[in-house]
Amino acid sequence: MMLLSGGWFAVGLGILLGRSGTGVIDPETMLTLTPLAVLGLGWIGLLVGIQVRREVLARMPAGAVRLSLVDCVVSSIVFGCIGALGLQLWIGEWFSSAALGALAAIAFGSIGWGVETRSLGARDTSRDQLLSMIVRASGGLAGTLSVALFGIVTAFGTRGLVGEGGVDFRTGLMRLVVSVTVALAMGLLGRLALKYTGRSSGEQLAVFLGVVAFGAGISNQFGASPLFTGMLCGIVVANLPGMSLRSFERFILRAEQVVATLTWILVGILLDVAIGMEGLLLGVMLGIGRLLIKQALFSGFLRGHPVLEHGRTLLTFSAMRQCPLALVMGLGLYLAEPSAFHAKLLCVLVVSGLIGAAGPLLSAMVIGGRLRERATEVHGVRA
Amino acid sequence: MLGALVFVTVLAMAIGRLTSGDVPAAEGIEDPTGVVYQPIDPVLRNAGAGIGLLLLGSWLAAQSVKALQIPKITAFLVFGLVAGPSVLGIVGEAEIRYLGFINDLAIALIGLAAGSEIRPWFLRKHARTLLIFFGIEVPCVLLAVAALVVFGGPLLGLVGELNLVQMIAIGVIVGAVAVSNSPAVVIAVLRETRASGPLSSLCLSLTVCKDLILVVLFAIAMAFADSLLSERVRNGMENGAWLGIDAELAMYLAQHIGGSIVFGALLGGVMAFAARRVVRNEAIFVILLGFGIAVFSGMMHTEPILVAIVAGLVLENIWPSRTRRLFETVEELSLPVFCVFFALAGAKIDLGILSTMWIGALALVSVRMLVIWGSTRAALGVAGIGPPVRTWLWTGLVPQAGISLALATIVGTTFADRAFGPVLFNLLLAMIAIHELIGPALFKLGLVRSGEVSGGGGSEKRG
Repeated sequence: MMLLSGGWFAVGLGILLGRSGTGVIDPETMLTLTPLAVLGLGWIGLLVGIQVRREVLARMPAGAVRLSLVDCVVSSIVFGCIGALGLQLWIGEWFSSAALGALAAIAFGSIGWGVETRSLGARDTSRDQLLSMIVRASGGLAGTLSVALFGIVTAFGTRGLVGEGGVDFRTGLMRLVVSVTVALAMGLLGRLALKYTGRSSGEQLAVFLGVVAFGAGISNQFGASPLFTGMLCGIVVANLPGMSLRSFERFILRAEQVVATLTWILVGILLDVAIGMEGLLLGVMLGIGRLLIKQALFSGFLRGHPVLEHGRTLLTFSAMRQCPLALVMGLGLYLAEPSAFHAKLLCVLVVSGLIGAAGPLLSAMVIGGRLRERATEVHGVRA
Repeated sequence: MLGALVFVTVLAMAIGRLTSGDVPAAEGIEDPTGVVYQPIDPVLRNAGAGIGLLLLGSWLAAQSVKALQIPKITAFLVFGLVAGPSVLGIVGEAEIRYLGFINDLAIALIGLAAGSEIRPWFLRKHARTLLIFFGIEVPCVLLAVAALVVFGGPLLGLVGELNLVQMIAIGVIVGAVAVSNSPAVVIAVLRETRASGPLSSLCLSLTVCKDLILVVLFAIAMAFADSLLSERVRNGMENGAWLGIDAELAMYLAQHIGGSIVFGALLGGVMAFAARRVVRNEAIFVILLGFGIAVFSGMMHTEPILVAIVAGLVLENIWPSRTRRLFETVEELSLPVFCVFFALAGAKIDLGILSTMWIGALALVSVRMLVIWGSTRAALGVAGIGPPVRTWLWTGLVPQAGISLALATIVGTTFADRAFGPVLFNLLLAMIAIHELIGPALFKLGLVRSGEVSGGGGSEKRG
């Protein structure tokens, strides 16, 4: 349990409170908080985008960039195929307007991995630090790519419009143009406003909540992904020349845990555990596929860097853990179309994520010896 | 900043036009698993951009008029008014309804912050002066304004099928709101002017302590008025019951006020316990707490603002070191929440109604100011306090803002389904808006005339 990141406990709390648990909080009631949830999606997008800075990308180890790109291509194809097969078995279709969003969340949500490494017992040794940095850097870049692909693909599905179906290229292009334009405008506005906020964190919060809420809200109004627009907005803010963003970054990253925890609780409340055998099969296929593919990818990378490979720790299995953005994508779909299917899809993503989270634990047990000692040690320290 | 404000407003208008064709689905849609679901209401979908517009627009509006030294909250209100249904209609009435949860959060934050400003030791030290002041000023303002409502109802726009008893009920509510002041405005002006001295200290303590008394008074007034205006009482009166003030009402008051105090105190204890464990997540804690206060107060029939004030008071005075970070977080979150809260309040102002009742609002403001001036001088005279405090203290009691708007919102929500509800709400908002505009400038004048600004020694933070 100690090797799990805190997000799963928040999801568990949400499940306990929601329709699949005690039912204390009704999903219908939660839907009235959609404006707040859209703001949350936009804020998460901003957090992703603000880390994509030219100087950071330039400083990233070449191996990490290559790892992200390879993972992006391989995961999109492999998990896209698994997702298509699973959806065909589950709902009898995979290339339709209704299934497009789900397929995008499955395929692109599988890109990257969880960048939280503390729960894996990362130590202060230079090797662990380097591994942690690579996990975080490549995972972060892969997460950005996944949000971008998700935003672009889902723009072409007809969402939120009544009685229409099919992949609509004209509407999709219009949504992409809206996302990019709004993100540019809000990013510029945010930077301009930052000059007037000074060091006041209250003022900074007001400006950036306003910018993100407005941008993400407009995107949502047009049926585009608020997550995608928020991310674009963050990229614009982070890459405009001029003032330093250091104090703002410290402030915004402090809010990361707040938004993440509230999002996980919301996911737990909204998901529906009654996914049936087909849904469970899809979740398990994704989870097991993740354990195999990600470990193969990461091992391949480590083989190319003997310094990192020597003396494996739990950190070498961190790529097995699902990127939290997968659940955010699922949440975005549910908020756009609050259907029973999307509630179940959230559960499928949670199942897949839990299997991925169990990966480092299972690996430790299989490999045994040193790793088991390490896990026990970590457990002891954390307890 | 003005250019940015215009840009944001025009952009929101254009987007609103483009998506105005979206209509809610008349019937459900079948999802791929064969289950029919109801698509999300387009208005609810658009409300996200509404929050952004109100937040960003009101902040930009405040920045744009900074040079004019207009209080920020006035700018938020005015922007809300402009963006709301009365002027540009960018944020519609339906959207405003969907954003009600912001009110709940704001009311809880205002209450927590107000409670944290109350100091029991100061109450003990200046008990005599405070008692004399509250014994004279509060009843004078309440009764004078209530009398104006009862005898000048048509002048204030309160017409219709209201009998004397119901007019008394409404008068008591308006009087209770008229009693309220704004510690937030007082603190802001004191910090801005760096004033210090007896006037500054006494004014700050009086307005903060008045919050607690006011909320109890307001809860009683609302319960009293609700009882007088309810069908049950009208029927009861026909059967001979006197004003419906019976054991049931007494129980209701006990539950409403006593329950709020007990719940608030318990909550304060729980919060203090939890605050030790919440090391990096104060913001989550405060947000959940704000919504929690609103939800549980509704379930337990307690007054959310009173619960929050008592919780804030208990926290700050019993476990100050443990909860310092918590109140810093409340302060951090206050600005964005207030931006939307005040802008929403502004958006709710119905200019159509306001244009027909400006005479009434002015009459209310005039009577309130006159009575505050007279009763404050009289009370301080009895307490043995001389000029310049006696001459100028009243200027600090004129501003109204957060608490007053919160109370007005409660009135508006409680009586939303009654014919007089919107009129009463707009009357209160008009009165508060005028006080917001003139209050800070008047208080600043009082401080300058009393000679406390020239010292520049920094204000006393809390009474």
